[in-house]
Amino acid sequence: MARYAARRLLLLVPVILSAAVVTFALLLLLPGDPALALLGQEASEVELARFRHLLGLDRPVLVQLGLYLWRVAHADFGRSITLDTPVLRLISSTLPATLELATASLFLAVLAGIPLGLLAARRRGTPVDTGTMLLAQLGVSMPVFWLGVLLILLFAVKLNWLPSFGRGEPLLSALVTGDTAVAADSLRHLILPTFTLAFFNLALLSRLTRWAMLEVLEEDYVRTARAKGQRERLVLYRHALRNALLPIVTIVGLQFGNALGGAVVTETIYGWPGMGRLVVQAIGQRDFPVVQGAVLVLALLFSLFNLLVDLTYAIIDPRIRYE
Amino acid sequence: MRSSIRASATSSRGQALRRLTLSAKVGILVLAVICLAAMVPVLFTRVNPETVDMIARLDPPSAGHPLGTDHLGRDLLSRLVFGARISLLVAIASVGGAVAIGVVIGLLAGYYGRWVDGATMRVVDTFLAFPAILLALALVAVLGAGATSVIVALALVFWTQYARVVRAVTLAEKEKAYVEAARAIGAGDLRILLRHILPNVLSPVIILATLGMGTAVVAESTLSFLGMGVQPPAPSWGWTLAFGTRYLRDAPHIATFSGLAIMATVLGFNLLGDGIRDLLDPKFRPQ
Repeated sequence: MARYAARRLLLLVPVILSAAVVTFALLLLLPGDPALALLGQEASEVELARFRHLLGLDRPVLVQLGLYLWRVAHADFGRSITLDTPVLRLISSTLPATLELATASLFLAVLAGIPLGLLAARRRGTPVDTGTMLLAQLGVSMPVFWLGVLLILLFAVKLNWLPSFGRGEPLLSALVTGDTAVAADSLRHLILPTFTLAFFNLALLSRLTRWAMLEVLEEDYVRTARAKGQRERLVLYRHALRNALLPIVTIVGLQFGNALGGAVVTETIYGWPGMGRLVVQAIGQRDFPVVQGAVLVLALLFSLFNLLVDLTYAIIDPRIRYE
Repeated sequence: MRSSIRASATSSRGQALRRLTLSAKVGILVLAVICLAAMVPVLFTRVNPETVDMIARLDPPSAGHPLGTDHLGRDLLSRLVFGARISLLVAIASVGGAVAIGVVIGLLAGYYGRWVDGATMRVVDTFLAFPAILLALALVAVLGAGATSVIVALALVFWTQYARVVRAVTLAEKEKAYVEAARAIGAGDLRILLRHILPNVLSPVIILATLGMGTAVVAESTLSFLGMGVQPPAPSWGWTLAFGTRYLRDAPHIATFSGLAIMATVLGFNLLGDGIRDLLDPKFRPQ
C-alpha cells in the first residue's frame, strides 16, 4: 500500500506542474499588452514599465515561466495589485472558510445522498423510488445560484429564520472553545450555503447509489447470499453496498471538486468570505496575481483530494494496488 | 431500393422514439417548446425585450405582462423568450466545439497509442485538475466577457470528457476484426478512423453531448450571473436572474421565473440524455 501511495504521489507532480503552467498561460492569453489590460488605458508609461517589471513581463516568456514556477515552488504567488498584500496571505485567510463550507456540504451530500439512493434501490418501482429519483432529477437540473436565491427568499426574506449573508466565527474553533452561543451562530450562518452547495451533489449521489446498488443486486454472489438464507439487511449492507461503494467513492472525490467550483457561486451569493468570492472579486478588479494564485491552490487541493480518493479506492478494492 | 431503405430508416427512428421512456418524451416536449421560443419568439410574445417602461418597473405578473416586468420595466416574458436563443446558441456552439476537439484528440490518442496517447492524456489530466467552472471563469476573465469568450472557454473546459470516452472506446474498437479486415483490404489510417471507428464511438458521445448541453446552459448562466458571461443589454437568463436577486423583496418574480427557465431547459436536456442513454446502453434500460 505504501508503494502504491508513493507512486500515486509522484504521479501528482507533473499534474501540479502542468496546472501551474496553465495558470501562468492565463496571463499570456490576455489580449494585447497584459500591463495595459490590467492597469487600464489611463496608466502612464512609467507605471506600465514599473508594472511590467514587477510581473516580470519585460523578460522572455520562457524566463517568465521559469521564474513563475520557481516562485510557486516556494509558495510565493506574488502580490495583489489592488490590495498590495501577498497573495499567499489572502489565500490563507480565505481558505479555511472555503474548506469549512466544502466539507460541510460534502458531509451533507454523503450523509443524505447515499441513504436516499439505497432507499430508492430497495423500494425499486414504488412511489418512494419514483419520488426520490424525481427529487434527484430536479437537484441535478437546478442551477446552484437559483437554489441559493430561492432559499434566501424563503428562509431569510419571508420567514426571517436564517441569515443570508456572511459567516459567523469559524465553526471548529467555536466548538473547541465550547461557546454554544457562538457555535449556534456559526451553524445558523452555515446552514443555507451548505444546503445550496450540497443539493446538486446530494442528488447526483443518490442517483448513482441507486444505479450502483441495482447493478450489484443482480450479481450472482448476491443471489448466492440470499439462497443461503441470509437476512436481507446483511445481503444489502455486507454484500451489495460494499461492492457498490467503488463508483460512489470516485464520485464523492469528484464532488469535492464540484464543491470547490460551486463555492465560487455559493460564496458570492451568501457573501461567504472564502476563496471562491476572492476569485470573483479579483476577476472583477482584474487582479490577476490573485486569480492565478487562487485558481492554482484550488486545483492543487482538488488534485490532492483525488489522490486521497484513489488511495481509499485501493483500500476498498485491493486488486487496484496490484495492477 | 433507396426508398425502401429510407422507409426502413424512418420506421426504425419511429420505433426508437416509441422505445424512449416517458421522462425522455417529457424532456423532448420541454426542449421543443424552448427551441420554438428561440427560433420563433413571435409565437410567444410580440413585445420588444428592450422596450423600457419606467412606470411599469418591477410590476408583478399581470394580463399585460404575464410574467411581470424587470427593474427597467421591460417585459420579463419577452426577455426570457429572447434569452432562450442566447442560452441555446452558447450551449450548442460550446458543446459542438468540445465534441469536435474531444473526438479528434480521443480518436488519435486511442488509435495511435504510445507517446501520442501519453502526451494527450497528460494534457487531459492537467485540465481535469481544475474545477470546471473555476477554469471557465478564469478563461473568460482573460478572454473578456461576451458570448464568444464564453463559448471558447466552455469548449476548452468540457472537451476532456469527450476525449477520455472516445479514447477508451477507440482503444477497444481498434483491436476488433472489422478494423483488421479494413486494414487487410488496404484502407489507410484516416479511412479506418473516419469510416470504421468513428461511427462506433458516436453512441457515448451523443449521450454525453446531450447531458453536456444542460451543463453548458447552467455554466453560461452561472458566468452571466457572476457578471462574466453574455453582457447586457442581451437578455441572458443569468443576467436577468442576477438583477432579480437585487429586488428579491419587492419583485421576487424576476429571479423566480428566470431561474425556472434555466432549470426547465437543463431538466429537458437531462431527461432526454438519460432517455438516450437508456435506449443505447442496455445496462441502464428500465425493467
